[in-house]
Amino acid sequence: MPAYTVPVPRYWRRIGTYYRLEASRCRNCGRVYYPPRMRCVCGCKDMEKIRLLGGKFQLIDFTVLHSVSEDFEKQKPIFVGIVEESSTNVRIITQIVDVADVSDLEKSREVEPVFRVVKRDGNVGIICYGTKFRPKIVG
Amino acid sequence: MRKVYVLSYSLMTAGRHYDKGLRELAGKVLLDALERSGSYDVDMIVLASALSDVVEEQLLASSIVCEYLSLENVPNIRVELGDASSGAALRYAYELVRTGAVDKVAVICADKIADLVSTRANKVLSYLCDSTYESYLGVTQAAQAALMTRAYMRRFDYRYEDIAMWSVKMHEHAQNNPHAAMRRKISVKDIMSSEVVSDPIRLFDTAVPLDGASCIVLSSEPGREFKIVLEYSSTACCNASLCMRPEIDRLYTLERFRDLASKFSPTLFELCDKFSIFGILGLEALGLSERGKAPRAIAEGMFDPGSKVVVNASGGLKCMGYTVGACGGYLTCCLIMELLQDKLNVGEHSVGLVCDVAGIDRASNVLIFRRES
Amino acid sequence: MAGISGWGCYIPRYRITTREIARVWGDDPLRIRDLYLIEEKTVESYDEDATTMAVEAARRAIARSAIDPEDLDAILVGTESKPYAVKPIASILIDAVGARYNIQAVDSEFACKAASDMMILALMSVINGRYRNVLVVATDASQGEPGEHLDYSASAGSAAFVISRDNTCVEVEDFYSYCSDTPDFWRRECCPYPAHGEGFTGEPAYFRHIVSAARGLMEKMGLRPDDFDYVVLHQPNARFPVRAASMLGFPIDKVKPGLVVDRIGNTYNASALLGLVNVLDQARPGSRILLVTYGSGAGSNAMSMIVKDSVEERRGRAERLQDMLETKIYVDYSLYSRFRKLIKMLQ
Ligand SMILES: [Zn+2]
Repeated sequence: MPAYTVPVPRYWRRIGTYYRLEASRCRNCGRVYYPPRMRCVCGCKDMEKIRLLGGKFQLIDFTVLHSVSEDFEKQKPIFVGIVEESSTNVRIITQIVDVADVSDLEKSREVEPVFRVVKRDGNVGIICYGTKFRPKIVG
Repeated sequence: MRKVYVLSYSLMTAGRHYDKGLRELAGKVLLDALERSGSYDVDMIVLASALSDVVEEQLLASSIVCEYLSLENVPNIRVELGDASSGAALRYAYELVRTGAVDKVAVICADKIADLVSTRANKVLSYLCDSTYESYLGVTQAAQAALMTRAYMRRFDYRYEDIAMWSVKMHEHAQNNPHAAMRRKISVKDIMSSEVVSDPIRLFDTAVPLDGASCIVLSSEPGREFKIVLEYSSTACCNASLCMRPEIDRLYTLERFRDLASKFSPTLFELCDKFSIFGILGLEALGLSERGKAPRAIAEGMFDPGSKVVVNASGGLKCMGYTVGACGGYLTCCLIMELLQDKLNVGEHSVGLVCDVAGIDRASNVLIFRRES
Repeated sequence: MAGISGWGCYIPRYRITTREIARVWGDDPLRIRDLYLIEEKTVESYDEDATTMAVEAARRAIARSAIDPEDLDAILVGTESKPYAVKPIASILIDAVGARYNIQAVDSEFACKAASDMMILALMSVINGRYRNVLVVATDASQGEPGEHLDYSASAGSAAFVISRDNTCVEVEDFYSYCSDTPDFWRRECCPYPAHGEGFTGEPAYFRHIVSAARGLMEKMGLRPDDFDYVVLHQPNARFPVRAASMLGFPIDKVKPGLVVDRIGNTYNASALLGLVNVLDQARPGSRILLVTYGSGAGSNAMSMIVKDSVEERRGRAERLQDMLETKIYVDYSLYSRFRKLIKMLQ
């Protein structure tokens, strides 16, 4: 078989959290977790699955990462930011794309999730997709 | 409970040891430390290594190291807690001796990273973040440290030059440390003109990933040459992603060690400074400086050798190198040398504290040493 | 009668001007502009492909239609630039939009025409009552050989439609197809770029099929160009659709609202359909639209549609194409080469 490196099940079992930003919400105290947790800090184990995808997101802060890891060697520099979903207050550390200029992020702090390729596993393996964020069109 | 003594120690200067594998690095420091302890007899070997499986594709690495020295019957184990593996291994060894489970244990702190090209090394080090949700999207430890730095600078109205002063100070301190890999003086200007790693962090303001190894032998009986007691050891954790914390510019795990300062009154410190922000926040978390004031205190030389409280007289990880799982071993060996005024003469001190940090403040280990006369 | 209940689109934010491409390849930029009437085209970012754009367009179409994604009965994709030679985009869409798993999903290929074939099949399936809602996605991130004709036009974009039995905002009155074996443009297995017959792509290919399908539909329905408010044609460049419309007897102002190629290039399967999206973004209720797609090899599908009152309430549920056209980041040919992976690397 031609060689590839990403074990497919490791990607496949994350499709819900990668594509639809599935998070877990505590039915007792309402705290929301992304990545999902089995048990809440309040001690409750009754967690329901919710989708953050349709939410409103604000960029909290960001950095321009030049010293990237090998999967992003051909895309450097990349923007790494913390975004917050406003109805759940859940914060995600993620990649910001489609940035014309750093000043873009200073002004336009509303960002939107966008479906993107995360990694192409060589010429043989699978294409891994996921959710990144980008500045939302204003006006 | 028994007293735990440091019987002997050894370290090799970190570097790009292309001619040595993990067994040669670890074997050499173990050999030196055991010889200095007066005997090859040892009840247990604990190997602190974060990367033996990732870089050398070796599980059971501790057994391979023992074989290399023909210690064929010595029980051994590897301890992994990311880049705080050393502190965790030392704490484990401390408990073994203290409780009477073993009498003499050698802790080897060793890792190899320089075999990897830089982008591969960046990827491997990003395993210190959540691989499934953070590293997957390109998030690295440096990027998170950059976010911490930005938050701190914004909150307390600092410029990056103020933060980078930490590195300048470390290079000053390292001039007296024969085991520092970087001993050249640098200026804020040098840092500001070096390449950006992750805005605002620049290359000359980070600890360079290097291969390294050190060994500390603990025992229930003191040796003949010196009497240093490992008086206390503990681990604190913050098992949450950086962005889930109320304030990202704080080291919550170190804050839990603050009362140790008044309890044991250490005057010597060796703190993890893989990025300058860690050194700064470490000072504040332990109460050595008021929140938001550490950069000023550092610039004023408040923690330089000769002061009442001395921090990172070794030059820290900044100058000794970022040896990943071996970081805490370097901090510990240097603290012992400082207490003994052996090669690292920073004045008369009897109690010192070492603290290493795993990932972005996911865990930290504290070790308190006292020199007895 | 069945029709469209939601529409949506996606184009990358990056653009390159034909002037910049001409600069690199030693062509006269004015001649190039005169030849294609294309000012600039979209460029997919390094991390975009036909799949990612399909997801974005599909999510917007579903948002406009306001149906629960679980109410989709099929997902049909038309593309000629699948990221995988074997493995569908449609199944990725199921998970990305949150559809049910017990539905039909498939990718289809007929050069730039397959997506409109999927619209017709979707219409028939909702008309016969078997399905209630079908998601149809046209998506392409097509490649042209660097420096060749196609380098000036081949671009990236996606359009998506929810075809429904109930709750429609656009009614599809009728459709008509015209196909023949005409090899004007093709790509063999494992070839990175297509080949074409230059001038042969015109008269015997594009014009013959477009005009035949449009005339066939109008004859069948007993309609004349006067009965239509908009005509939207496949647009590999801006010259072809304008000329074909004039051959059919449509004045230029009925063509213009559905002409976007001058600002985004040829988005292949999404080409005419992005023109339709632009029309739906602005058309008055009651307007009648003639849509004619074209795919090399060759064939055309013509459809007649009537815009209903409910189109207006749905416009605000997602960004308009116009907003996307205005939000752009220009790249030069170097960055374009990097984004499109034209620089040869081992992997
Ligand atoms: Zn709870």
